[in-house]
Amino acid sequence: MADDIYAKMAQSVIDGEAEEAAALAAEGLRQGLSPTDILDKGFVKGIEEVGDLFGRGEFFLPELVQGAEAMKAAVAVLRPELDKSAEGRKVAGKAIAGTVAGDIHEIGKTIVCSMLSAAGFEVTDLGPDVSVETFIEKVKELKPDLLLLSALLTTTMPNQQKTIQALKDAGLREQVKVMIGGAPTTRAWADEIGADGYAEDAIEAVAAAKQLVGAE
Amino acid sequence: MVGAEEVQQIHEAALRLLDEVGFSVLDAEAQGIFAAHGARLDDHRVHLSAELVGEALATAPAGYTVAGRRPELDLHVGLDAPPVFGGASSPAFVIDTSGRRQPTLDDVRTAVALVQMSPNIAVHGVSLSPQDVSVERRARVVLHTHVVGSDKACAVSVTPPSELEAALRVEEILYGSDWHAHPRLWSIINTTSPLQLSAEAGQALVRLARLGQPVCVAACAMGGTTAPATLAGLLAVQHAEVLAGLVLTQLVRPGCPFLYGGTSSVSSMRSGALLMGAPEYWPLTEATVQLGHHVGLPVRAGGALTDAHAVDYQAGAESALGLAAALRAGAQFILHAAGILSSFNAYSPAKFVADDGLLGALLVAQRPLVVSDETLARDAVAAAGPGGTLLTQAHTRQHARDLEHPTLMNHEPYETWHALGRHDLAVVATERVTDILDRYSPPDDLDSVTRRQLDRYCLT
Repeated sequence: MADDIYAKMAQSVIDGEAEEAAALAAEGLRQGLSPTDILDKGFVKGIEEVGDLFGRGEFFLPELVQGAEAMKAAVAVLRPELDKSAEGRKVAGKAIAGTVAGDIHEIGKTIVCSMLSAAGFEVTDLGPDVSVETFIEKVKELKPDLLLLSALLTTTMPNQQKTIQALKDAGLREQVKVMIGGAPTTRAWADEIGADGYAEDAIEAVAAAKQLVGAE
Repeated sequence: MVGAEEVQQIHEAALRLLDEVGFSVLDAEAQGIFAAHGARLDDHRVHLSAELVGEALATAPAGYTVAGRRPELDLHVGLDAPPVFGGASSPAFVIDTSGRRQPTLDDVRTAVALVQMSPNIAVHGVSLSPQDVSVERRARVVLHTHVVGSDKACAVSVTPPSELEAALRVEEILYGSDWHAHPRLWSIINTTSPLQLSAEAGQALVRLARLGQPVCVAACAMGGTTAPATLAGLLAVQHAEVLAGLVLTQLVRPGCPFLYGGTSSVSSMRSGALLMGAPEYWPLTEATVQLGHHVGLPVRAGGALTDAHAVDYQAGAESALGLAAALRAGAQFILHAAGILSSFNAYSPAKFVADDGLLGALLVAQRPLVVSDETLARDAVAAAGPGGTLLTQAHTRQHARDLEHPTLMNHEPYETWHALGRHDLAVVATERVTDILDRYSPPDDLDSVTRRQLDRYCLT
């Protein structure tokens, strides 16, 4: 019986059905299933399958992103119960991502967020045009393992540097690993501004993120 | 090419998007301009009626002349004028024989010299951003390098606002305080798809329009990520964005020169990356030109664009197809007509000269096939007779030079080519760059007062 609903949960993520995933999460709780079981035996199996299918080239980006969205919808329903649960939730790591101030390009950053979610990270996406102050505030508030800074313009790249400097000034630099990305950025730029990680595309970003948080 | 009925359907779909979904305008002043003229404002989203769009189309000119440094360098942009070509615009990297790196001021000088020496490229693209010049001085130093190194027009960066300010100041130094009495500036205002105009882009647009300077609003929507994965939907989004830019331009200054821009393509559905060498890009380019012409506007589209990272077969094929599509459809302005690698991200001097050669060949191919007594050459055929040779005919002698064109392509037979070192085109193009730079000398048309003012403003 429970196995049935777990299979449906996994399938809702594979199908990228966010509403269905949220409804199944609520239904699982109503049936008295534990929130961690709902996640681990249900939705996580789905997102792992999505990740595998993407890795094998059978799934494309929209399927990956929509799978991650369905996962997010389920976690949102489970969140209050997960927070109460003494076990807590196992995640690969906690990440905050955003496009730096002055830059409203976010498609690349959004893809990275989806791929990280699919890889088991708990991701908070702050969106585009995020001020240095907001990044600092969110790092203080959410205490992430990873901070991901995106920039698509040569004119906004310096704001990646400013954000890292602000982390230092606020005494937060040692608490969080910083990754940067975006079309005009390079590994050399990442090194120059003291970022911990760099990736040229979203797939590489997941590998780099896992390595930085010691998830692999 | 898309059928006339389909073009109209896409146009109508765009009008519906503007009315029902709206266009997000992040600059408060631009929002106010839309609202003051009857656009519905819903937070930062403006909803435009078909009437507002129609009024803007009625005041936008079908063509205009951009004044050059001297009258013979004036460039006409219009439905009845030949296309204008621009060089690679704002790439983040340089790729040369040593690999990929960040641009330096020397690279800017090279790019400027190559455009100055080009037989086809009339407008410099927005400059490389030299990383060996401080951020505070960079825009001014780049402008100086362009103005001193070439008398050809230069597309200027209009964001951030400080870069536009620098460009306006340089115009004033060159042409006096009423420099803006004529259209002079080349620039690109990019939308942020889907259906969005950034605050900086909005500010730049309003500023340029107030000065009566040509406004080119260009979309680079990405099918599957920032626009629908289906080409019709993608074009409707692009068309809506450009029309919204047109409306703002014409509200600020009715009659302001406007260029309909689009280089939208599709995203990789595996990585999300923008693909400028995708086979969808070429019909999209044609349709972009058709949609602009459908509403009576001159169009900027196409380019020697490729996803390749080296001057190789892929780069050549994709670039040729990207250029040919824009030429065939009749684009008025083709920015990125030479020098781009890595899907807009990189500039290559060798690719620039290779593309310039390609462009020359395509322009020959574009020539109308003239049918007349002279070109039918009946007398020459009769004189040669069946089985004879045309080489002995005066007609052939008179037309021999019509068939000779400057080219980098190999037309030598195998053994000659082998003896010359078996070079592929990338090597030949690299050698040609050196040769062109050796022959290059900057123009000397600036008077000493202007030059001093320019030096003082740009270099201190």
